[in-house]
Amino acid sequence: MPADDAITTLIRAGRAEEAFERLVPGYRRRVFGLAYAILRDRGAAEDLAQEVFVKLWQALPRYDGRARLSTWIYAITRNAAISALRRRRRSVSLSDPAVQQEVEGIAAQPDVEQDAALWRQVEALPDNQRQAVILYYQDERPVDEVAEMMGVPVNTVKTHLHRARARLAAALGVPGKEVA
Amino acid sequence: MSSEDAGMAALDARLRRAMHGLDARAGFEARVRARIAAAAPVSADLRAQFEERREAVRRRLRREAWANGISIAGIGIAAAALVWRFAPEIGRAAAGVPIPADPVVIAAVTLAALAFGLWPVLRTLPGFRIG
Repeated sequence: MPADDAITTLIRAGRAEEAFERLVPGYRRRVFGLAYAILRDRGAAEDLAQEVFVKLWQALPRYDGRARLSTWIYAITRNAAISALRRRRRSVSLSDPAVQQEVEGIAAQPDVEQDAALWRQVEALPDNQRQAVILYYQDERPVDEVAEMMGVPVNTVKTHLHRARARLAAALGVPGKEVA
Repeated sequence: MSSEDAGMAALDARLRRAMHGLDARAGFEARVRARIAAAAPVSADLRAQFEERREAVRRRLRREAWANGISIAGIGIAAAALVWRFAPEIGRAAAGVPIPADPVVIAAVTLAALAFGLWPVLRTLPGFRIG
């Protein structure tokens, strides 16, 4: 990201406050999108995104610039989201009626009412395919950025996207190409 | 454009529309700021606890250094007194060795040897600075 250089320069100059002011609006959608793609819950994703930015604020003076700023932020987000997911899985069981209700109720969330059928199918995709679809279409991101966010190779993202589109097309009755 | 391509293009557009709305609620930055502000007193409190513990350790090390210093001084004085008391005997025993039998010189040499041997401990004493 072009703004990363300016943010990194500010951090190196010890101007963490200014760096953070640029970092939050620049990464809000990305961090939220990644958190949502992993957690599949808006409330939890929002809470996690806030937690990630608090962590970033605390860790910013220690950022040494060895890894790219975006790579560093995505790694922190992924780790936090995976930990949150594990905590949630430990505390609830999938057979728990409340969890089933939550999964069934995903399509009923206010923001997804517009295209509930599409959301239901996206939610039914395997984890990696769902994450790739959400991150790719959220802001029409380049595949290499989606790969960086997910921490996987570019070709893996391409495969996930190809398979996900074919599955969605089949499920939604869209004439599409068969999955290889 | 084939019907397949048109269908996939429509699916892409649908996905873009659906995913574009994925964002945090309005006021996200203010909520992050509030969380940072709420976390700050906790970290300040932790820092204060850390400083307190570090000061306690520093005091304990200073006490131990003084105790070590006093022990070393006691041993040194006792050694010097013994050498002083038994200087003639030591002188006779060391008759073959070409050193002066003067008790003052022997005591001084003993203290110097002790100081040299205990130099690593002596230099840890509080306020002990040379140069």
